Amino acid sequence: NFDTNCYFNVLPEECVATVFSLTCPLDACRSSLVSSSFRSAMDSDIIWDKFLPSDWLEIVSKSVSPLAFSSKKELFALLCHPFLIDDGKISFKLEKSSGKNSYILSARALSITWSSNPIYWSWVSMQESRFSEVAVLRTSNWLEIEGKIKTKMLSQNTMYGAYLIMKISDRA
Amino acid sequence: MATTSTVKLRSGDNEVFEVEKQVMIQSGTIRNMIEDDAADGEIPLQISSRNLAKVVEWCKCMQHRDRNNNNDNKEEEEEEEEWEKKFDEEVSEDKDLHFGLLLAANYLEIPALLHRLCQLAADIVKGKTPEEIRRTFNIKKDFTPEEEEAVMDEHGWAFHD
Repeated sequence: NFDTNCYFNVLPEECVATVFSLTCPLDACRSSLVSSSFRSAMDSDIIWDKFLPSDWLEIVSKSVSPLAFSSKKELFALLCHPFLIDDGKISFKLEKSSGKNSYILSARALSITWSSNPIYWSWVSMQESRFSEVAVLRTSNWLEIEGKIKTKMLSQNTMYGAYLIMKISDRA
Repeated sequence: MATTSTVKLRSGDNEVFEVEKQVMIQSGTIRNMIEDDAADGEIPLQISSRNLAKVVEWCKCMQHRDRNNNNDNKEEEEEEEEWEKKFDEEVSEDKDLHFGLLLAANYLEIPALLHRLCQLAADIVKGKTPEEIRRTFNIKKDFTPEEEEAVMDEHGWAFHD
């Protein structure tokens, strides 16, 4: 029979970690606030291994600036902040509540018709952009922008949306 | 080699369960004892008779299901599903049983049962606030306000945009 006070306390920490590895990142994080033993259980790599994307090693290796982390939980938190991969052409982040991969392709990673012709497009750096270069449309009678992403880069069993991020300049 | 086809398990409150070895080899702990010929006498376990009975029942059901996996017996299949559903409900509503079984499955090394019980526990904690989890499982909040703030800070990335 149990002391009414210790349902979770009697379990080995590994067991508690396994339970929370079957929830979601937000649940696991929030539960750190339950008690001090929960807090230490929530640090377990068992939990965060489950939440990290299966290709995390590849993503980390593609990062432009090296990522330093000492636990899987720290790594997860790091990946939730956007960072540049693929020579700065793509921005990656984990969607923190679900742990799903999300990407932003820079203009350099898109295929934009006539973008190398300075009559139609110019490439400039803009302070507010996360990327070092953006494509600015000068004039064109043909607007064609194509972005491709390999499905293996995406998280499985996930409904994705695609958005075009653009800014209409003052002179437009 | 062991000569009998059954194994005797003695619960913490001294009830003896005689079960087919074929059923109990789902437990890594007992399988090792059988393989080491250490299972001929009674195996004493620090598990209450109520919990041990449930573990044995579960193992029997799983073994029965695996054995009949190739049979296309719809009726039996439905019966097993019904049994599992009842098991899930019973465990989810009775925390003494649920956590007693978690400990037993962990000690006896029965991965499938352990996983099922962890999944049921996960379903209970999902979406709950820390306070709701404390209330559900009678957990005392042992943080000082300073410690609580430190945990909040550490997990700020999860709570704020």
